[in-house]
Amino acid sequence: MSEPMLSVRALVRSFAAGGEILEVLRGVELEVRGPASVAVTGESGSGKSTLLALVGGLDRPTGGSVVVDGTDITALDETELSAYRSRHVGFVFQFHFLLADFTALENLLIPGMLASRDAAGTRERARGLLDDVGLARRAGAYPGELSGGERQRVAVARALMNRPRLILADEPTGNLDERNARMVEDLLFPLVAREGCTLLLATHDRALAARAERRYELAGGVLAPA
Amino acid sequence: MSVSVFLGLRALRGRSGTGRYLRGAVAGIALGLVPLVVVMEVSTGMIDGITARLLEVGSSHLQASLPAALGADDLVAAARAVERLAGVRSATAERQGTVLLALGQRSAGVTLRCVDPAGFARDAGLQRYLTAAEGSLDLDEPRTVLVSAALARTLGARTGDSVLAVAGLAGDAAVLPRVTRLVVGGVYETGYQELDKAVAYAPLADADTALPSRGVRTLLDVKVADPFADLAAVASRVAEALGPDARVSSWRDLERSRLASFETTRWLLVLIMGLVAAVAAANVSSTVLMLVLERRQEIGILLGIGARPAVLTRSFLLAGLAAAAAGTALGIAAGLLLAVNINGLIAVIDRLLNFAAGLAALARAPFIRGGAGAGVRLTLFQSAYYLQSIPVRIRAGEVIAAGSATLLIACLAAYLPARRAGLLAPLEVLRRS
Repeated sequence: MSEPMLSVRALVRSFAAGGEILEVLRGVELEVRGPASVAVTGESGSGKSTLLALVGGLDRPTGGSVVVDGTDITALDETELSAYRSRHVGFVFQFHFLLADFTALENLLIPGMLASRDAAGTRERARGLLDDVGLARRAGAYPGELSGGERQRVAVARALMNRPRLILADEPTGNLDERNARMVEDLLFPLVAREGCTLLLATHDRALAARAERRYELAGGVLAPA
Repeated sequence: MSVSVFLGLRALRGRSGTGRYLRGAVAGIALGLVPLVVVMEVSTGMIDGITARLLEVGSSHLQASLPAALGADDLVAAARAVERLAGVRSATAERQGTVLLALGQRSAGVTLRCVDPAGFARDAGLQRYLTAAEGSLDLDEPRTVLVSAALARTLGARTGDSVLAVAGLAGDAAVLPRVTRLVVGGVYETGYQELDKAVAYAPLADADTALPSRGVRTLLDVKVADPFADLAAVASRVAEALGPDARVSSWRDLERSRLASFETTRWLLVLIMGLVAAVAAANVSSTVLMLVLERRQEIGILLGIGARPAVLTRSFLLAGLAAAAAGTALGIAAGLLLAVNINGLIAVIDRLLNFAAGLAALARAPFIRGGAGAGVRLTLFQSAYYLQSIPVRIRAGEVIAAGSATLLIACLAAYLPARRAGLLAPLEVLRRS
């Protein structure tokens, strides 16, 4: 049997709050083999975002391990984690988090530059992705000149720029109206499938979660199939 | 283009408005550097101008003191002999002493320099800085005296006037005055009144009658090819040619204290202005800090999508350095522009000051019995103590050093806040956003 693409073992994350230890994740177990879409649902504050931050190398666990393609990312130093985030992970947050001083195209070019990809290839890839999300004609627009839905579509394109193995989407439609939310969903799932990525989606939107191949519920700090 | 440069340059013209901090730093550094560059270049020109006049008109490059008993013909012959030595450009025989020049009721104590007219005319350096304000500057006619413009003003003398040179004549029991009538052949200027305000020239032949019987110095004013080179060898040749009774001194010995005083003043000014520029350069630190604080979200996003901390540190350092470089270039350019136009600028400020003073006098006039009167003419720089026209000389090395030091200080100042950008925790920043 092939090695899992993502293996989360006994993952614990606790925070000190008001003199008490708050244990948000209490031994989360998750294994994903090959390209797949996985949705994690749960109430607000249940730890969905914390789980994604740990898998994305934005945070460090209190205990347990996160192994991506055979590498335990909890053992990486800051520089290695930066390289991991740059090359292996694409993030789509609830808020678009585009860089305000850069055009839509530049927002896509920067991840390529950070990963030291060749300039011509990066530009071609960025233009292609903007075309994929229906924003080829808005390449020169700054985030402030785009609508909310357009910004989130640029954010989806940016997440895919470096052909990551893993897309981590944290409430990607949470800030959008119904129409724009559906538009983003309709782009996200096919694009992730086309690129051969694994999508780990945190949402409390059950309709959105229903589109994933596998669904889990995070409650009481423990992950269980939904 | 590297991603650090790309991010850093964009911070300079940020649409989000953070570029204003960097533009402030550019202006601060430029304004800090302007006085430094002006002081450096103007004071350099001033000192060089004064030094050149001291060397050519004052002490000469080498000065040989000879026994007073040496006759005029022997003195001129000694000058000719010295002129033939290797490295010597010219040598002029001279006797000098203190006399009182008088015209009518006015008089002034002066150093009367009685020089060999031929040597005086041959001395290219002297002739370059001695310009005729009136009459001619030759001493071929006996009983001729050349007076400086300042002295002419003091005495109220003009070309053709007869002045009396009153010298002390030592008798058996008392000093008796000896009076010689001299005709003003010309009025000269050196451009540095401190040097010429109490000096007059007369022919060497008149030394015996016009100079006092005691306290007269017998000299050879020697000019060499390069006065700023080591003069030990040529001084030794001159001393050897003149014999054991001669004492040879270089201009460095004779003017040491005066030049040291100029240099000390100059460095003090440069230090003070340098501190202003250094403070402006160090201010880049707060600029970069503000930039980092205002761009926290951008930093968080970039760290989140995989930017290494070093990339962010470099980009903010580059933004700070680019601002410092722009400020340095602007400051140096503006400073040099002001420096090369300093004479015109002083004239304009003088005119403005006097215009303002005139307006103030007019405004006061109705309240002052008898009107405002003629008023006092204001002068920003008294040319009596400085050169009449400041000869600005640009020393590229000094300007480059000042610019490099500014950039270095800015770089050091920007490093810590720039490093702070790389140390932010991305998740924390994104959560707060």
